[in-house]
Amino acid sequence: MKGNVRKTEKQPLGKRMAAGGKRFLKNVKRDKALLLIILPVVVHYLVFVYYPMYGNIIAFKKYSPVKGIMGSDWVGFRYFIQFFNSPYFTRVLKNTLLISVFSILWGFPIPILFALMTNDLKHGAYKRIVQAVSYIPYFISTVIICGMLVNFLSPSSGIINSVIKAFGGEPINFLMEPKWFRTVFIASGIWQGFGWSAIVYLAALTGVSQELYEAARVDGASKIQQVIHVSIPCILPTIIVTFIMQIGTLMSVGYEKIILLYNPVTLDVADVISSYTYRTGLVEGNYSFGSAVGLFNSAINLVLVIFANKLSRKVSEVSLW
Amino acid sequence: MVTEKKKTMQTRRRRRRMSPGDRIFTVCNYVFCFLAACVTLYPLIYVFSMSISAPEAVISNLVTLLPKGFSLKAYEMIFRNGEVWRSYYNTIWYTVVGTTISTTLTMMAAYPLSRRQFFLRRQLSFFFTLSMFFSGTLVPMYLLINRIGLYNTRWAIVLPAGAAAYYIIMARTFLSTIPDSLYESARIDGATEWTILRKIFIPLSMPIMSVLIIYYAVHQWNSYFNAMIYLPGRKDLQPLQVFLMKILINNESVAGEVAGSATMSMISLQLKYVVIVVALVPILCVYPFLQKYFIKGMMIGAVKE
Repeated sequence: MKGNVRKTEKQPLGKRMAAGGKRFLKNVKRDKALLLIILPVVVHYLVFVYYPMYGNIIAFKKYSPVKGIMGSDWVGFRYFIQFFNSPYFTRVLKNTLLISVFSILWGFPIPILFALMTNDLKHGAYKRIVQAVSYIPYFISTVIICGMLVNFLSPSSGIINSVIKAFGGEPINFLMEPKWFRTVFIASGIWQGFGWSAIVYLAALTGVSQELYEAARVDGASKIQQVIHVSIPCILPTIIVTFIMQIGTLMSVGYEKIILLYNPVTLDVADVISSYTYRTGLVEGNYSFGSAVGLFNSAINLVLVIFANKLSRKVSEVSLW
Repeated sequence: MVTEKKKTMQTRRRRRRMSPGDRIFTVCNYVFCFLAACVTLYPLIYVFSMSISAPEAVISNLVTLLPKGFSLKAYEMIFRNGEVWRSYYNTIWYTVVGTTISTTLTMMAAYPLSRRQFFLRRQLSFFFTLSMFFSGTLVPMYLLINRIGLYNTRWAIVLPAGAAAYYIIMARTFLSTIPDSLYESARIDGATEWTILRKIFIPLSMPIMSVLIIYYAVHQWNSYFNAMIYLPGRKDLQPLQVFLMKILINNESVAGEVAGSATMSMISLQLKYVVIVVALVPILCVYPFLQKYFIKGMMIGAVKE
């Protein structure tokens, strides 16, 4: 293929294009069946991925349902500026960052610890059971997780407050107190994800050669020393890559769980960029403004992912693309 | 002399294998893992116990771990409720149809992309993966669903889900391990592209298909957001998760519940635990498969081309 390109390079443009066209047609003919198979998916992507991507331009227009996306009037960056100047901007930015950073801070080390611990279990059946149990919450829907939270944390009938009361404490209305929101959100997230996130590390740990442990044992290393000097260094590349990838998702706290848990009282600490997009765009119907907020968020996410990927490639030669 | 030396070495080794420090470490390990399993399981056991306990015990917070008393009254109420059955049926419909569409589309994209001779391979791979990094945001997607007439129809739930780029790449990676020579020899023997697909490709791709089916099915079963925003006017089309949201989050009463009556106010708390169980049971029933195929998928996804 490359050789062909080079050969045609010296010929005049028209001829080259004709040759290219001919080759294209030949290829189409040869791969007719494959093209036919992939065509529906391409059409699906054009409609459900690329058309909404194009629809993002309503962030730069004053969208009117009557005029449609094409016919609406351009307003440039008006909605972006309106968003940047609104008091919500710092609020949602701050909340998104705080939730992300604390999620990583608390949520990142736990799966690693859990993987290291289960890896050391010697009874195969016990190990399998512990692992299998730890994955269960990952498959539970957001609605059920939030529903359980609402019921468990209820000040009148929730189990958590029953325990607090049993110890003589005052019941806490967790979901109605702004200072508890982040804790509830992040802790439940860890509960749901720690077992599942540990899989990556467990896979890396099974790859560690037993000879290394044997050698450490011969040198008189205790179990803790083996973990520190053999296990952790061996899975360090995995840890680094996972960490960097998490940085890539720093600004993408999803709305699905947030909008189920927040309420007017906790909005001040719970509102993140994505939930703000949902509320302004869909609930209040400010289509253009909502699009601008959403577009701003995806732009940041894109930059972060590219940055994380570059970093990851530099550090460990592992990358998403 | 020699045997004595051997003996001391053996004892030393044994002692080294289980020094007091190591023993503490191992015990702590077992205990912590046990605790982790307990923390994970406790809420689920508690929910189940609450759902089958006597209503009096539920209302006065007597249940801590195991059921106190026994009553299936709340279950009876839930199963007599038409809305529960309807939303259950809807969820099954969305899961079956959505998974079929998504899996088929994913395989239809992955197969050509896995064939080395396919001339648009690189371009189309890029065409799909671009959506992983940049796509239409919430509002344009919503406007599209309105515009093409899917709003308030079942198709608004199953069509946009489509084929996720990440899964297309995952399936492509798996399929490219099938050697091209296999197809070539089949073609030399006179097999058409369709025969190759049926006789060679589908049997060989069963592992990845099962992974995809499980991924998409769990996703459909658990999702609520699209149904919430695309089907607001159609109560009869809403899936189980939206029903759950109304009961658990929005604190709506189960339809048919006579508000104010004594038994009702007693049972309404328990009903919440019952609906959680009812929604969780199918997931937990197929859990061994879920676990197996999800991990399999993760391993395939981790392999880079």
